Amino acid sequence: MAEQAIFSRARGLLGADTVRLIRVMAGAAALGLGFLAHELAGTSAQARHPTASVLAWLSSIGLALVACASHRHFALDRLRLAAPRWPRDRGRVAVWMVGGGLFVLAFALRAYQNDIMPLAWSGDEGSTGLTAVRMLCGELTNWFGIGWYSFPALFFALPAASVGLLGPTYGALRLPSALAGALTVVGLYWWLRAAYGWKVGVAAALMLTASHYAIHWSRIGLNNIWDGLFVVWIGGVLWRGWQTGQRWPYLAAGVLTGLSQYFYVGSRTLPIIIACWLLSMALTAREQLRREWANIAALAFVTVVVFLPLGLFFGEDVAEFMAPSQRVSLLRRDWPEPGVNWFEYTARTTGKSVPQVFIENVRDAALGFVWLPVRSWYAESGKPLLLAVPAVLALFGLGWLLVDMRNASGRYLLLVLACTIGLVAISESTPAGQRFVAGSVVAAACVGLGFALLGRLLAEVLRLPGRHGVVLAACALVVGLGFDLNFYFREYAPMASRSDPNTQVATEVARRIATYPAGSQLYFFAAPRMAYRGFATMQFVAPHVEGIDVLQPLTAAPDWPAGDAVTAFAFTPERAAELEFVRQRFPDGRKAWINMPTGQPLVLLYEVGASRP
Amino acid sequence: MHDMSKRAIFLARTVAVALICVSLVVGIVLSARGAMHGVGLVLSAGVLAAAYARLVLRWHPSQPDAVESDDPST
Repeated sequence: MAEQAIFSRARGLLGADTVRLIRVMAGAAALGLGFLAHELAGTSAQARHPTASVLAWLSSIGLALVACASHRHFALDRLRLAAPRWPRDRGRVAVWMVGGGLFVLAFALRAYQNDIMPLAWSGDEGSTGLTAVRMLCGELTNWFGIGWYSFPALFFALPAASVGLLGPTYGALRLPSALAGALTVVGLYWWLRAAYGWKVGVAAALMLTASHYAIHWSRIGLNNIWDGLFVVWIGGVLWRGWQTGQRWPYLAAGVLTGLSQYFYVGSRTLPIIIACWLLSMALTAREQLRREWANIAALAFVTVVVFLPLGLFFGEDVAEFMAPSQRVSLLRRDWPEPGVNWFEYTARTTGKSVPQVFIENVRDAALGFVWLPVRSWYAESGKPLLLAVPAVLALFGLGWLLVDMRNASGRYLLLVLACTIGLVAISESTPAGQRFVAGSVVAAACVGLGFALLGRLLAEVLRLPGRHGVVLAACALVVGLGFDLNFYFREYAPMASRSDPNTQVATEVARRIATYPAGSQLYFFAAPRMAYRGFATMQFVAPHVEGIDVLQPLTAAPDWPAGDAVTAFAFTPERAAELEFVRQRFPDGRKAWINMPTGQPLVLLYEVGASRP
Repeated sequence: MHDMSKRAIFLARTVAVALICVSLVVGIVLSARGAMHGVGLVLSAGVLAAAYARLVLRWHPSQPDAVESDDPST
C-alpha cells in the first residue's frame, strides 16, 4: 500500500509521460556520451582528452542507470518515507560479520608476503607493471584503448594505483589481485548463502579462501583473477534479480558485464553465458522470463553502454580484439604448420580423427579440475585445480548441480563450468593453468554443495542426527583446506614457485639491482637465451638502473666507461667465461655466483663500485 | 502387506546407498592409482547420491539440519 502511495505521489510529481521522456533522453544521452568518450580518447596510447573521456564514460554509465532505473527510483520522496533499513535484524548483522571475516582471512592469505610468494617475478607481471608505470608517467592515458599484450588499458589503472602508492615492487603490483581474490570469496559467500543456505555459502567461501589455485592467482600481478570476481558477482546479482524481480540487480549485472570486458579475455564469454542462461530459462520458466523482459533489456542496454568506448576502439581495430584469443587458439589456421590447425595436425600425426582429438582435449580440460596436473602457468605445482579431498567433494557437488538442473544458480554455474572447459580445450597447452580462474569459483561452489550433500548422506548412512553428519563432513572439508594451505605455503611457494631458469635469472638479478643507487648500470650477458629488454622484471623494479644487453660475445676487453654509481655485469653460465675480458677493464669488482636450489649455477654477478658485499 | 512394502523400500534404499559407497570407494582408489576412470566413478557416485538425497530424502542444501525426511519408512 505504501509503495502504491509512493508511486501515485511520484507520478503526481513528475507525470508518467515526463518520466518516460526522461528515460528516453537519458538513454540517448548515455549512448551519445559513450561515443563521445571514444572520440575524446582516440585510438592511440595517449588520449586526446584523457580526463574528459573518462568523465564522459562515467556520465554515460550514470545516465544509462537513470534511463533503466525502476519506476520506484523516480519517487522523489521515497527515501524520506522509507523506514531505516540498517540494521534490519541480527541475521543480517551476522551475514555481514561472516562476510567481513571471510574477506579479512582471504585478503590476509593473498597479500601476506606476496612479493616473495610466489618466488618468481615473472616477465609478464613485469610487463603489467611497466604498463602501469607508463600510465603513471602519462605515456598511456587512453583508458579505452589497449595496454600490454593487447589487453584493455583500463585494467592497468588498478596496478597503477597500487604501484603509485607503494612504489615499483612486485608486492604493490600483486596487491589488486589479492583484493580481487578476497572480494570473490565474499561474493561467493553472499550468493551461495542466499541460493543454497549458509552451510553451502560458508563451505564454498572457505574452500575458495584456502584453495591453492585461487591463492596463487590472487598472488600474481596479472588480470586473470578478475574473471572469477566477475563470474561470482554477476551470478549473484542475476540470481537475486531472478528471484525478486527487482531492477537493480539486473542493472548491477549490466555494469559488471560491461566492466568485465576491460579485464582478462576469459570474461568475454560472460555475455554468452548470460544469454545461454536466459535461453535455458526460456525452456522451463517462460512466463517469468516474459515478466522479466524489461529487466533483461535494461541489463543488455547497460552492458552495451559500459562497453561502448572499448567496443568502438575494437571495432576500428579488430585484430587487437582478436589478438589475445588468436595467439593461443588451437583453431587458428597455419599453426603448427601451414594449411591446418592444431586439431587437424594432431589428428594426422597421431592417426586419430579430428573429433577424437577434440574430445580428448575436452576430457583433459575437464580432468584439469580434479585429476590432471595443469600445464603452462602453474604447471610447476604438478597439481590439478582441486586436491584429492576437495575433488571428491566437488564431484559430489557437481552431481547435485546435474540433478537439480532447474535451479537458476545451478544452471549458471554449469554454464560457466562448460564454458571454462570449452575454452581450455580449444586453447594451447590443455589444460593450461591460467585459463581455469573462472572455473575455480564453480569448483569451490561444487565443494560447498558436495560438503552439504555428504553431511546429509553420512547422517543417513550412519543413522545420525543431521547436525552430526554435517560435523563429519566439516571434518573432511577442514582436512581438505589444511592440505591446500599446506601445499601452497609449505611445499609450492618456498621451492617450486621459482619458475623456469630464465625467470629465475631475471628475478635474482632484479632483486639485486633494485637496491643499487640511481645512475647505476647493468651489462647483461645472457643472449641468445634471454635479454634484459625481453624480461620486463628488471626494468620494472629497477627503473633507476640502465640495462644494456650485450648481444655479441666479447672477444677482447671492452672500452666501456665506469659509471658514477654501481656498474654491474650479469652472466648466464654459458657466457661466464667473458668475465675475464670484463675484469681486464674493471679489475676491482666483486664476483658472486647465484645458484639454483639444486646447486647448479644460475647467474654470475660482477659488481664494480658496490658498497655492500 | 505394509511390512512387505516397508521392507522393499528399506532394501532399495540400502542397495542405493551401497552402490554410492562402492562407486565412491572404487573411484577414489582408481583415481589414486592413476586411472582417470576413477574420476568418472566418483562423479557417478555423486550423481547417485544427489539423486538419492533429492528424490528419496527430499533434501535440499538450504534445508535446516533438524528437518528430516517426511518419508514414513525412515
